[in-house]
Order: sequence, then structure tokens, then C-alpha cells
Amino acid sequence: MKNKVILLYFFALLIIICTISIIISQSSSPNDDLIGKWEEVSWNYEKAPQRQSKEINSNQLSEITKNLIIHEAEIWEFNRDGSAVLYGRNSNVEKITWTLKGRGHILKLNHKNSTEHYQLYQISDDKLVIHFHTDLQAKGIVKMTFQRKI
Amino acid sequence: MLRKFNNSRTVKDNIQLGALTAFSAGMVNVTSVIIFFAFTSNVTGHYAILAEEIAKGNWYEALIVFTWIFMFFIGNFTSNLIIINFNKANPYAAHATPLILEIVCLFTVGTYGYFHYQETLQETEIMIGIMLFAMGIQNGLTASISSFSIKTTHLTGLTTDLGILAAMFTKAKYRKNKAFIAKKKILLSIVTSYLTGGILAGFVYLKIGFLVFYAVCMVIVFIIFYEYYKLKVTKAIRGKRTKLQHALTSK
Repeated sequence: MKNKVILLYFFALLIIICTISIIISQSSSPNDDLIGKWEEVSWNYEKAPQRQSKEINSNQLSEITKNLIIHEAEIWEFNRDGSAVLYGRNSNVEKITWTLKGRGHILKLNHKNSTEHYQLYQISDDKLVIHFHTDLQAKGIVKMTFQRKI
Repeated sequence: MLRKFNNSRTVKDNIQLGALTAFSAGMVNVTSVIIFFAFTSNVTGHYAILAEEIAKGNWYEALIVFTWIFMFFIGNFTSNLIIINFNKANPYAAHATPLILEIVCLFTVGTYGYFHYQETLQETEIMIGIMLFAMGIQNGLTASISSFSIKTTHLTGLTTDLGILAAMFTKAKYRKNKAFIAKKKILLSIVTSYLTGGILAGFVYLKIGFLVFYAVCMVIVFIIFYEYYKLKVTKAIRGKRTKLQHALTSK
């Protein structure tokens, strides 16, 4: 009876470990999904000053993002080696490094003298949505949507 | 604190065990939130995230979160398995062994983090898993040897109990109840220690980074050696008493 219980526990553990290993090896990691060029297409402010619309104008945008370096970039390019290139509006180019944290839901961008954290809200083949000013499990204030640039 | 089991435990034993282990759990949890953006001393939030990731169809993330929950489960399973199998032979060893396992886990995370961590997602996921396993071990140990009256790695149940007690203390007859007073002391000591540990870890991490895990290990080592010391002192006192009794009876 005792041996039967040990066997049962052992096989249950084996099945769980095998299932986890197989599914993880078959699925793509958020790291792989992010690789490539992404073009910024929209900004949405969750607590918009005007009730009718969640869109924000350029003045509000610059006020919200005055401490952020990233908002200057229109195209973000993530490379497999952990480096990234931000292409700005006036042909400005900035090279940074990137990494994912948590369960792959926090995007950490390392600039020369500062670090920024964004919440990776949604990522698919052609769409990337991130929230910024994330505070642990709270949602970010601004939703930034990107489309994959081919 | 570690030798006594279930009903033979005093309020003092439970306060000492609860406060010290809650202190280390607070340190671990706050540090993991700062470094890894994930809680490692409780799994309630992870269950909610698991459901969210499944609903979104993010199978990789869902599986990672499931693995973390499973690691916490295995931690609880391991510590209780050790206790129920070795408690009769040597209660102190049975209760100290899970703590040694916890030290090994936290020491590994601290050492790897300080010397080798490249901030890759895979490293982060594995280290969170190890920390959840360590916290599972601690939670299983404290709950098991205190007849489920102490759980030191998460404060949901504790806050519930405190709320219930606060309501009961509005009646004079409950305010005089010794069991309730003792319960209040235990709960308050746990919550205070958890918070203190968390705040301290937040400050210390900014100074020494991953080495903060060594500080947590030191707290657990203190628990083990404090008990060992008390065990030796008690044995020595008993030995002297027996000798004295023998001397008196022979005269």
C-alpha cells in the first residue's frame, strides 16, 4: 500500500514536470515575440482629462512624458542580443539595452544614465501594447500601441 | 520555538517563531518585488494572474505562473513530509532541516544574483521559482508545527483574523478571554515583523543589492542556533538536577 502511494506521487510529479517542460519548449517566449521593429501608432490615456475622449493631444502628451526618454521615439527595434535602437522623429537614434522581468510582463529599458519600466500588456504577431508608469499590479496610466514594421 | 509540536507550544514559542520567520518572509518578498517584479511569499495574486493569462491565451506566461504556484506547493509538501517522517525520532532536527533547505535556496539566489545574474527572463523565472519554493518550505513548517495557527509568508488570513478579533474586542467578555489576547499578540507580532523586515530589506537592497539574501539567511541561521542553544541549556540543567537528586537520595 505504501509503495503504491509513493508510486502514485512519483508519477503525478513526473507527469506535471513533463507537461510543463513540453509546453514550455513548444511555446514562444515573450523575448522572441518582441524581437523586431515596432512602430508607434497610438496613445491612450486611461484617466483622460476630457470625459468624451481617451485620446490625448500633443500638449498633454508632452506633459505626461516629460520625464520619459522613450516618448521621443517613433520606431523601437528590439534585437535578440538584448540591444535595442530607438528611432526618433528628427532622425535621432538612441542605442539602449532591454530585458524582460517578472513573468515577461515588465519591459526594462536601460538608457545611458537611467532605467525605465513598462508593463507589457499585449503582444501578438503584429500588435504590441504597453502601459507605462506601472506600479506592480496596478495598470499604467498611458496605453501605447505599436504595430510591427516589416 | 522549533522543538515543540502542536499543543505543547506556548504563546511565547509561537510569537518567537512567527515574528522571526515573518521578518525573513517580509525581506524576501520586498526584495523580489524590487528586483524581479513578482511576489514570492504568497500565491493568491499568482492564481489571479494565472486565470488572466489563460483568459488572454498567453500559454507561456500561464505555464510559468502555474510552475511558480507548483513550486510553492512543493515547498509546503517537502517541509511537511520531513516533519511527519522524522518528528518522532528527533523533533529539533525534523524542524530545523526545512529551514536549512530554505537557507540553501536563498543563499543560491543571493550568490547567483550577485555574481552571475545577466537579467535574462529565464534567470528571473527560475530564481522566482526557487524563492517561492523557499517560502513554501517556511510556510509549511510554521503552519505544521503550530497546528496551522501561524502562517508567516502571507497576510491575507492574518488580516482577516485581526479584523475578526478587533470586532470581538468590542465586547467586554471577549476582551478578557486569554486565548483571544494571546492570538492578538501573535498576529500583531507577525504583521509588525513582516513589515519591519520588508522596510529594512528595501533600504538594505539599495546598499548591498543581492547580498540582502545573505541577511535573510542570517535570520534563519539565528532561529536554528537559538533553538540549538536552548536545547543544550535545557539538557545541561536537567542533567545537573538529576545528578543533584542522585546525590541527595544516596545520602
